[in-house]
Amino acid sequence: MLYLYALVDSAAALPDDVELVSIDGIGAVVGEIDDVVDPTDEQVLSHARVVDQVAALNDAVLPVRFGRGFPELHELEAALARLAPRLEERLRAVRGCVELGVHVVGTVEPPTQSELGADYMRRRLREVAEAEAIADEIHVPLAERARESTRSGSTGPTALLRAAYLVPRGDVDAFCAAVERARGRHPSLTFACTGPWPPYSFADLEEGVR
Amino acid sequence: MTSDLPLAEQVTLIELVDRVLNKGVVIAGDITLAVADVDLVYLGLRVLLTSVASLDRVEEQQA
Repeated sequence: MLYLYALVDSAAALPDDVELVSIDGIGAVVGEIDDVVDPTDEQVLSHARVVDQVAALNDAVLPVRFGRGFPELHELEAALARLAPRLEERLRAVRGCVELGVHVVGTVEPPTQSELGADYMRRRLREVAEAEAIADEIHVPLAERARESTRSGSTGPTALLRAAYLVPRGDVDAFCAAVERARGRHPSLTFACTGPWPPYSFADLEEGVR
Repeated sequence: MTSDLPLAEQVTLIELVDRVLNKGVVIAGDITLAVADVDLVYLGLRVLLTSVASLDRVEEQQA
């Protein structure tokens, strides 16, 4: 069986212990395995390590989701040939970019003893609306600095924003400075900026307009 | 991997696992090569789910 790690250009450089299957300009980074993999944390980290190594060697990498593959080589080749135009488009989109994740977390006050139910509901509604406005105020300028962005749906006052940004390598420092400025504008909120990651959140063909 | 890790490292690890398991391209026609449900990985990492970031994840799973 062929275990899939990432999709790349057909001329991609590879780390040791993996192979390249190329067709129509698209390369699949695969490992030969005898049996299904256990979804343990070690296996997940090992998958991530191979994707990291491939991303370090190449400009355009589409990470594949954990635990996917093809029983036979000809099935993989057929799938690559069928999807080549769309994979090429995605490779072009992520070329030269890394993914940065931004989480913004706030706090919610529980209802006080004296607060009536209706008052509490009104306060919560107001807080949700305020949280949305703050999330937009943080997200929009960051998205403008990114080639693409993706944002989880409304998360409420505890998790204000959970988003990923596709950023050209050369713009990472400027992007992080923009995150720092947002942090400075909202000293009461907790910011977590993670990455740079290979562009996991921007690799899927099924996602629509971002 | 314990909850003694600094918050930033915990968040990074959770973010990593989330990406590897839930993001990334899936090619039509492929098969799953992982025997059990990937929720097991979250169980394996449950010691980490004590941080601020875990609130986020729990909320997402309930949504």
